[in-house]
Amino acid sequence: MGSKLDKYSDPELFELVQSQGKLADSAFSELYDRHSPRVFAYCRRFLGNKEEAQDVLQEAFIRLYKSSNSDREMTNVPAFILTIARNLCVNSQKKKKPLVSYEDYMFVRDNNNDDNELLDLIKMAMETLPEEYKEVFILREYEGLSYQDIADITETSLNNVKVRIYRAKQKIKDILEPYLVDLNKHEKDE
Amino acid sequence: MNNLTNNDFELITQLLDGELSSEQAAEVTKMIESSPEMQAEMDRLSEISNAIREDDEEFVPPKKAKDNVFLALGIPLAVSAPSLTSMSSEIANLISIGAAFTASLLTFTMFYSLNDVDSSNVASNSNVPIVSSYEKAKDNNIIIEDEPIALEVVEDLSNSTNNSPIISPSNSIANRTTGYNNSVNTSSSSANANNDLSLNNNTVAIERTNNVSDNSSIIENINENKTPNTIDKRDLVSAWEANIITSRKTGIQTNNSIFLEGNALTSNGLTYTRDYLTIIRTKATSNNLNSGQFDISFLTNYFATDVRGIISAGLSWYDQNSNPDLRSPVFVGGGIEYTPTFTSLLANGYFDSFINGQLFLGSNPSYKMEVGISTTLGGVTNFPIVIGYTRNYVRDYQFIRQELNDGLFIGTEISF
Repeated sequence: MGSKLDKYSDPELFELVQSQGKLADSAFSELYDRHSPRVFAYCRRFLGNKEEAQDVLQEAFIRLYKSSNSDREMTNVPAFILTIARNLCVNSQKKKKPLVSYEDYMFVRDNNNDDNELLDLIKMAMETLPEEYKEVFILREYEGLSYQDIADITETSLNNVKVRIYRAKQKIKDILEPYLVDLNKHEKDE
Repeated sequence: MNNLTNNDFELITQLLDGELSSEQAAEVTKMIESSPEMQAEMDRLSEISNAIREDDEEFVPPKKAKDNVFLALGIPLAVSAPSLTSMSSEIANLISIGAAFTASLLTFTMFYSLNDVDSSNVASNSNVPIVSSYEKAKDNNIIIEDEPIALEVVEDLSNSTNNSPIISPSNSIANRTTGYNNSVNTSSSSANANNDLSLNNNTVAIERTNNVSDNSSIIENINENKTPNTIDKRDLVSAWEANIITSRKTGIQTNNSIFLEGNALTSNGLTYTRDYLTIIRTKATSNNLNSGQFDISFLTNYFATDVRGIISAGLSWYDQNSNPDLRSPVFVGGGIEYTPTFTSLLANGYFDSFINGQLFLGSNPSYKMEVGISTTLGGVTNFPIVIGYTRNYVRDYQFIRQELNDGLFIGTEISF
């Protein structure tokens, strides 16, 4: 069904959705399939909560669809959705109670084997970051976005992004320092 | 210990992130090669980045999430089925057409019904802004013949310090009556009368009547220094069908505040007011209810050559992209607002029509154009209702190359 639409670019799919023609719904479905994993992953990492991440994911795509009602020409659909998701995450975070569910706690602990030990530590270190550092860190390290894209999404200056990323990495590195030193020692011994 | 500076750390971070130019990258690479501390720092940061890159944890969105999205949007889960969205857009179009029709009908009704104002209706309506003036009496072709007519004084002139003639000299009765100016007891003025006039304007309302006997009795009353029968000044509006000049108000107004106010001036034989008014106008548009608008306008006719024209300059903040909930979807712009009062078309004081155009600072050629009217429906509502059409065009905003929103809007305004 969506095989033909696979070849369409994001802006072309968005235009199809805007056209409200026969292919509009299929085009929206294709956009969803194409970008929802990334958006969900971002939300999950940002919020650390599966249910909230799902809520944000749904709301982000609903808003994307509704935004097609206006006569706008979209140039960067993924960044647009990510911006919506990011704003929803920030709003959600503000309302959030400082509680961690058992499932989310286990989400970190379940992966606690040797291979993932560093990753788990990074996740935990990430949770200690201030929100503005955490979001740029996720966008850079997990989403692989350029500094300029991050600046656009977070609506801040490029210099701010540079500083935040640098500080976020410094902080995470400082937290992980003892572990990294220990890890290096073990590697040398072996 | 670590002798690296913050700048060194920053350069390493940017190098690893590929954010340095090739020249800068070469330079930093040289620095790292010559500094074991920088090398160690880069190793640690690389380790973290590599670990994250190897994070193969899959975040598969729950299947029900997609179903929920499609359900919420009214899209069939089997997307090959006929789209419901087209139907919803038809409904939206119908609503827009209905809104446009209703607004037109409302405007039409208001225009024709309020142009033929019944004096009793006006009298019962305390919200109609009225100030009568000597010039107005002349401008509106009120012919006062040399017949016995009644003179009725409404305004409280007790505080007036200006005793200049206030009645047309062509009226012999009026000339006679001026002799009684100081003896007329005007303390029975209407509670709704505009007291400001007693301070600034020499304003006396005149009404023609054919009842000679009544006239004589009133004159007798005057002779006996009795209080004449008075009628509310606003009752006289219908007789004049005047271009009403509103009285000065102070403080924030939510009622009767849609007109400029001030002293009556004469230019080329026509009367106009010269004044200013600050208006805060807020609106919601029909096509995108999230796209609210908020304007602040400073209206003045001080520089207008058109005696009935009003020019305003203002700022506008309007939420162009609130639909996708962008963080700061606010544009700030300035522009010109021209407010013709359509003297011949809307020869009453119940409408204030405006045409507004704004360019947005920092986002040209983005613009806003709007036309509309502001009305209290002749005083029916306690606040002005603003109705009109708006067209907003925004270009090159983040990921959006261009966006055009247009449609009807409705809102309100306060002025002070």
